Amino acid sequence: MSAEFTEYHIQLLGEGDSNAYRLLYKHFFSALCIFARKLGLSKEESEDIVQEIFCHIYHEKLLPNHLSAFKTYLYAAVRNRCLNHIRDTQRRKNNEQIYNDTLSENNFWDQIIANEVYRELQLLLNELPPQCRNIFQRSLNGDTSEKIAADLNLSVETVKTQRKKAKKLLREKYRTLYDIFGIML
Amino acid sequence: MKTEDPYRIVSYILAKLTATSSPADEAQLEKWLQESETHREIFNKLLQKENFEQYQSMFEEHPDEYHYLQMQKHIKKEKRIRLFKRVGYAAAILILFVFSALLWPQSTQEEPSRISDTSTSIRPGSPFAILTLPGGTTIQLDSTTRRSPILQTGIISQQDTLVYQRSNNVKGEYHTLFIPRGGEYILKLSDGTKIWLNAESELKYPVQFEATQRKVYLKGEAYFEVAKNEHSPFIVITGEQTTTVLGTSFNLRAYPEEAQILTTLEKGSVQISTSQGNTILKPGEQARTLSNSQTIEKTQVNTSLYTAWHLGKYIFIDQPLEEILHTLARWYNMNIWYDHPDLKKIQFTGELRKYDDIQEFLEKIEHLEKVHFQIQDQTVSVFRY
Repeated sequence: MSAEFTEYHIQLLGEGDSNAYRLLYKHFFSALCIFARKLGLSKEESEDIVQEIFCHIYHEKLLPNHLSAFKTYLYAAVRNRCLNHIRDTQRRKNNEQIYNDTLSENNFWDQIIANEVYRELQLLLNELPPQCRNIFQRSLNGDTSEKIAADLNLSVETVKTQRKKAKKLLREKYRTLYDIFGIML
Repeated sequence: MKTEDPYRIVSYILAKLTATSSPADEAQLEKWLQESETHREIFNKLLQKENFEQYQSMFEEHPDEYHYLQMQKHIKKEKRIRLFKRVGYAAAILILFVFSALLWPQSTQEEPSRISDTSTSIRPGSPFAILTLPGGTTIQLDSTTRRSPILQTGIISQQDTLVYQRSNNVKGEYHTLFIPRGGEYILKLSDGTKIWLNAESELKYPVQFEATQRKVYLKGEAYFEVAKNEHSPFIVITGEQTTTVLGTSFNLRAYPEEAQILTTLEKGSVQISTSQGNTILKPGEQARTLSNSQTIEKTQVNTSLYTAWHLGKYIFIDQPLEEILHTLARWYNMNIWYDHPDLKKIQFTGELRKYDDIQEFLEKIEHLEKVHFQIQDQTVSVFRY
């Protein structure tokens, strides 16, 4: 399983560590671009904004040291830059609804939740071996082990083993992600 | 409102989605769902597999590795500039010492050739480009590339040109061609449009154009020969400027660090627009768009000054030394250092073929006895004559 992005990595970022910087991209770049696009930006604009933020992070020594705070810092940076961009390019009229919705604090947390769930899910899938990933994605879509086995021409046993493997990896991931003891055990 | 850490809610939802939640998780999630209609709406949206599939395809559109490499390039450049400044100061001090040492004894020796050619490591550029495919795969192209196994059918690299044949390639798929310093490349798109890309430039374009418009994105400099098609305007996006054409030949110079965009029209007509307005160019006209104010100024110019590069020549007429060397630096991949800022403003007229040795050109300028050059590795230092 590839490296998790932890509070230790935030600290390394402040020290200009290139591995931590690579990991920052792996874990957040695509997801933050999507976040910006949902606020009404184009593909290119969203990439520019996230690149600017990451460039800023590279030079920034003072980063929030808790993972939650760091994530919120990233989302807030994207949101603020998106709002500025929409205002500056005078597209506010066309995006009035999105603009006002984005300004609301409640919406901000809800948008984070929606984006984070899929971000974690996508990263998790990326980490699974191909066959395991395929089976797990199908089970997410509600397929039974029997149906998956028939579709992929595998034995039901194999499918079940792979599903268990995926779940085990999931639990490990969550344990490092959330300091909630006893969860899911 | 921060009644509950949103990232905990995320973990409860994730556990639910992956069927790994404990009873305690379920209870927490239920509590959150009861809190508001919006929460239930969010949750239901997350459960729909079309939504996740859409998210996954968007995820693929923003490859993190590619952008990480782009940023690394940017950071390296920044570091080089900082180092170069430091080296520049050190060199200035050193030169001061060398000069005083030379002046100390009677300087009756015969003047040697003024360009000190201790090492002539500066060479002209060559056809070279990096092609990036949608998945983030990159392919290096140079004059020896024929056909790369990664390239789809219908895409051929010949000598210095990358050709896209009209085919049934996937619509909506974008390729990016990046030309580093010291490189150039020609691109023939599926509609027959030919584009010369200059050093340090990047063009993003669809493998197969849409029926209603042909849109490309440019950073840096390119000369366009757009294939005529009245039903499908050709649109070039450069920063804040949009250039719309039907069929024409023109040059666009839009290097981000130059803080202006120069559009020079040779044939046909183009419309350029920014947030501050728009204008139509006639052949022989040039538009200068300032990056900060986005205002457009129009002037009559000798277009060959701005377009000769794509025919393998550089022509300069009464241009400040700084602009001349700045342009050449991209092609010869060299650094320039000025002994005094006033030297940058001295104007020169001259012409050189792109594949000629830079030294001959510099010697010609030296004959005018205004400046003196020193070449060391990749750096040209400029002194008062």
